Amino acid sequence: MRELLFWALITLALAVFLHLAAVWYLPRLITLVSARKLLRTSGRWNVLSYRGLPKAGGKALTSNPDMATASGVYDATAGPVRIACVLPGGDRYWSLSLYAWNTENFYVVNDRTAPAQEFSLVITTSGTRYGGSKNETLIVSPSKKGVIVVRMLVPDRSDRGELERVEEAMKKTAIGSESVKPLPDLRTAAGGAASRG
Amino acid sequence: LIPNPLDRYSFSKTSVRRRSDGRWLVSFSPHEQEENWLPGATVDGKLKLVLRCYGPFPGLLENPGIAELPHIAAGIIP
Repeated sequence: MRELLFWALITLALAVFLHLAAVWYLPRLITLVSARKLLRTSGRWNVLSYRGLPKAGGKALTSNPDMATASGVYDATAGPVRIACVLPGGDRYWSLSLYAWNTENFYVVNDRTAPAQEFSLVITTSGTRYGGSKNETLIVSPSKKGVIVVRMLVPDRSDRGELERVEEAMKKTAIGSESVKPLPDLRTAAGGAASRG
Repeated sequence: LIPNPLDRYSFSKTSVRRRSDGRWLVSFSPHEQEENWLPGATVDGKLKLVLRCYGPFPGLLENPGIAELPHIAAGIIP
């Protein structure tokens, strides 16, 4: 009986450990790795970098050859982060997605749901006091740090002029300079997410 | 994405060439095709096709099963 209880406890402990590893730690590890890659490009938090179109030989299983992307990592530790958004116009698909540090996609806006041709998103965290203005959409992020991805459809990637216009349009969406700050230690970012659960 | 010298991996409603009746044919082959050629070849002959629909009308969002999907035929072109 005692031996059975022992193995039951061992099994339970192992199950709890595996659950925490798979459900809690793995998503945060994925974001940490993604954030490091993004920071290698941008060099700073709170900056969007244009990544263009995916190329052959990438590791993504079903990467979209017609979707231009810009991405960056946000840090709302020191205060709200403002993103000035400009839609491309012409019924062109455009979207902006926010991902928390645990990979949760907690906010999406696209060209059809956007409040105006030009608008501002302000990312805050719970407990942060921010008044905002009527032209701003306030978004409460579940974590202080996370990932921003902006996507825009390119109807014909063989058209060089079109690619230049897309890049120009994508770069109009930017994070406000007031929320740009020096690069902090990534280990702090992961630890911060851990403390928020 | 399958590497190819044309850097072409897809067709969209804008770039695909349609026939007079509005229908279209896309051919995936290592050899050049007359219309809508997606160049390339895979080692084992297998590939994954993805059809994406952006900004669909509300009825399609509610019931995606109503979409008329393209027919796929394998091994009919060189």
